[in-house]
Amino acid sequence: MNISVEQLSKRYWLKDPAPQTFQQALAQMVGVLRRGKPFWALRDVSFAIGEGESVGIIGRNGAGKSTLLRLICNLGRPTSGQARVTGRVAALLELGVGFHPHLSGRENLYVSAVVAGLRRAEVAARYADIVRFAEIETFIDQPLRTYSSGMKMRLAFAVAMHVDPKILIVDEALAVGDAQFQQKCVDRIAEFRSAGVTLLLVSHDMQMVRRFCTRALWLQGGELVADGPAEEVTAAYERVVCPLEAKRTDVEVVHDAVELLESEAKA
Amino acid sequence: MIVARSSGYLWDIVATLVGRELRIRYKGSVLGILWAILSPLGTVVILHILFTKIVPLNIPNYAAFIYSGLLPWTWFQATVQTGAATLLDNRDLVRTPFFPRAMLPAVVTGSNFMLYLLALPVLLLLILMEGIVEIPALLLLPVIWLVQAMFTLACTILVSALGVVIRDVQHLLGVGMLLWFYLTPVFYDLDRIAPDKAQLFLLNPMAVLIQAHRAVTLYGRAPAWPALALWAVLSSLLLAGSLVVFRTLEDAFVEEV
Repeated sequence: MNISVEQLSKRYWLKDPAPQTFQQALAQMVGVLRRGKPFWALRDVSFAIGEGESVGIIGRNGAGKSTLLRLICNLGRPTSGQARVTGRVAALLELGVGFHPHLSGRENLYVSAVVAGLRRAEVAARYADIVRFAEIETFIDQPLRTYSSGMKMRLAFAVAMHVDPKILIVDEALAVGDAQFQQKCVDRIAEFRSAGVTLLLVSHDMQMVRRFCTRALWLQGGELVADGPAEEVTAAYERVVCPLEAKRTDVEVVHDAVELLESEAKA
Repeated sequence: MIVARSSGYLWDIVATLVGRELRIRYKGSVLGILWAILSPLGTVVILHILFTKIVPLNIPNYAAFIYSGLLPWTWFQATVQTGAATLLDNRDLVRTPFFPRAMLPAVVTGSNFMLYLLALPVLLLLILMEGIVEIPALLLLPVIWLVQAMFTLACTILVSALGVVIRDVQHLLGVGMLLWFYLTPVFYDLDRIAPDKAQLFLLNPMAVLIQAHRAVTLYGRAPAWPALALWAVLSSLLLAGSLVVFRTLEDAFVEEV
């Protein structure tokens, strides 16, 4: 088992707005213990992902996808339940971690590759590959502040693509560089897949999910609505959510989704 | 959740980030790494003028005397002071999945130790000029480094974690370290203080460490082993305790940096 999530819940406290008047300030002081309003980003989510599986996580904005990834990646404490991961993880949540504008591309490459989990000797061995992948051979010794944002992203991505993960976690970060570079990233992820790497992909792009994933998890309002074959879940999602008017509430969407999946199961 | 990492990898992390720290610090400055020598030297010149010309303390070889105390003190003080903000300054690293966050205080301790090492040759030059070099005693220096590294690291781990949860810690430290500086025999001589009062300085680990540094570099004799051993033991306990505090606060500060 690579990733196991058991009855995971996460509650955030939404801070009350700063008091505008003396009266409000006094009212807030009297209720000293008020922490704001509770907001459940995740509610009782459970699933397990085995080695080599590729799973897409889909859902509308605010459905809890990023919170789920963060908890799986050991960033923050669950309110209840737990998330466990075994194996070397490469997570494309934030790109360019450890980058410093005044250091050269080469220096930044070394730092961020070690931070991403490689030993120094491993970085040295892969250095040429990473630079070639990022397509910045000519500028590698220039300070990072002279790079365009596209160059920085390519360098960051190239590093992430050379970490040799057991588990790859991608948070809708695949839109980097031109079409050709994107194709390279897609190919690389396909390579990882065939090498048996576990893939966890958050995306709003159903094509992408169908292409890379065999299984999909659908989150809605912090709850796991559906967990099944990627084809079915994404199709259901497209039917329920995409033509969705903003007026509909989470409850209605969940209701429709459950109905749809049940009728499909019967058919 | 604690992710076990090989000690080799942790070493790579610290070494890489210490290298980055030193590069960033001197990038773009004309004199570059020379500042590691020039800035303590500047402080020595000021203290030397102050305590030989204006308020004479009559301590022999005063330049070498201050320098031998100031270097280890600066290592400690600069580490703890910057350590209080290190988790906030390295927000992106703290929020990186599975990054061994407890290594950040070690990086601060390590890079300030490198600055100490860079400035050390000047001390050797100063004591050479005074003709007081005792090689066998100097070989004991690494033992003192080890104790000081443990104590410094323990303090830094503690203030770094507390510094995120209680941001006042940084400001408090500014005043606290100034007081600690005066309570530590850096520019004055502990041997000239009445013995009953001097006993009290044993409670100050930095006083014990500075005395040990001086014994070895300046006077060419072994440090006072019992006091040093006592603080070696207490430092390792403090280190274990501060790691527990760090781990306890870790989940909270990941969301707060």
